[in-house]
Amino acid sequence: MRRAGVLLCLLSAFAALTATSEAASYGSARATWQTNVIAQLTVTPNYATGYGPVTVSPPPSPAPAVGPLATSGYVDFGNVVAGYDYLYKDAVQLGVVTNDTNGFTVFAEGSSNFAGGGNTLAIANTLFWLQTNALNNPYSPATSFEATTSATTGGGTGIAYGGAPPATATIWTWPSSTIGQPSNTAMRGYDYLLRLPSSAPQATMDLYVVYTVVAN
Amino acid sequence: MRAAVLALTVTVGALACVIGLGGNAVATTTGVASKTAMITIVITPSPVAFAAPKQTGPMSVAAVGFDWSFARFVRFLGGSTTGFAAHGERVVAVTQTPVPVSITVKPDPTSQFLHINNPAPGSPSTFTAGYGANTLSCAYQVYAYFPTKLGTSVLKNFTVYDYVYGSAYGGSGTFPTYDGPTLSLLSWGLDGASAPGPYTPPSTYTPFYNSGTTGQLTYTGVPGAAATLCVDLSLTVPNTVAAGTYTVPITYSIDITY
Repeated sequence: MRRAGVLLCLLSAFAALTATSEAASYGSARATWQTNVIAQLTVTPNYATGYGPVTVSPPPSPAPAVGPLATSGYVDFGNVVAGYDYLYKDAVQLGVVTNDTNGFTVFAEGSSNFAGGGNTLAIANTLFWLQTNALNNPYSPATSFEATTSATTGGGTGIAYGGAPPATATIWTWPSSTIGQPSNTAMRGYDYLLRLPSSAPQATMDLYVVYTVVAN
Repeated sequence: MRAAVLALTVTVGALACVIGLGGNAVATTTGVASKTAMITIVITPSPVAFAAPKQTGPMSVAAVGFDWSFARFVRFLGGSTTGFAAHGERVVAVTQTPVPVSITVKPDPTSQFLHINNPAPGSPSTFTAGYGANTLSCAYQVYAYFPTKLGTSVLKNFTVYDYVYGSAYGGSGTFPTYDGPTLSLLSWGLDGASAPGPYTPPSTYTPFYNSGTTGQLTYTGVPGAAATLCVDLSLTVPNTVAAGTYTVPITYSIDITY
């Protein structure tokens, strides 16, 4: 017992001497870092059961021959009749993750107009977007997509903006970080509307709608 | 002498009205087609404001990956990444994803009888209106036509009707067309008998019919003579209505009587 007490006393003295020695030569280091703003976008076409083109009841004449022809990521209106309006339910769901306390902005533009078989049809005032809602119908208020005026990349799968995407292409703004949301992700679903002019060319035509998320 | 007979019969996809007068003249009215025009109204001044993203240079299309090392470090400390974005130099983050959209357009077999050119050639696609009274000449065109004969029957005339899609008497329709018995603030008038031609302002404007699918008479045509009706719009915007964008679906139908 006495031996243990002596050992403890010696250790205490050594510790005090050591501390005094370090205090005489201390310094500081400043750690700085830059945090990358994160903004990740996930787009899921045909995201819910029952997605696809729908008709109103009673349907206008002639009854549109609707039905998606392809289901692998296409928003496919199928056969549509010139001069009529169509609603495509649950067309896309957007999911955004960001750590930016100022939030994010999502833009959407067509990388081109509708085109196929040598025919073209303007996307403006033809293809529209609106938030998913069970009450939506082919005549619901909606906002027209526009064809981009910027250069495209990847065969139309991307748009090379020289600056900010145009404000008119804004479809969603979020004012804060998404951390704390379910799965740290802000989610929103959209329906599409197709308003075909009676002069629409009779052909199969395609385009890409390019979604871009920008941290605010 | 037989009494006059009024009978209503419903046919597949159309309403037929058979009227017998003294056993001699019999008129049958049949629906042929209906089309809907979407009218977009923008009431100014618009309160829409846009805050541009805070960025100084060109943006990259490349995806910005998640900084797992940083995130893991923060989690190791028991913290959250929330709020860290405000520190240090900001780096604009951009990601893009395309969605392919496809349509296969088929011809409209009834287009030869009724179709709508919306907007009319040379007219704006939206009706920009301020508070008070506004007009827009030849906002869109309604084309109507039917031949002189249907099989062996000789046509007496064809008629075009209009109504606000989705309206119902006593309903809760909103600006600008509301529901009956409230009068629609959006009215129409025909710019002359047909277009193209010299502009002839309508002598009167009529509120759009907003009490269901019965509709109101827009035009009575002569079989064999096509009519391209220029529809002028008139809108009175009260101060109680917020600035913004409003859309109105107007459905037109064509009936024939023979």
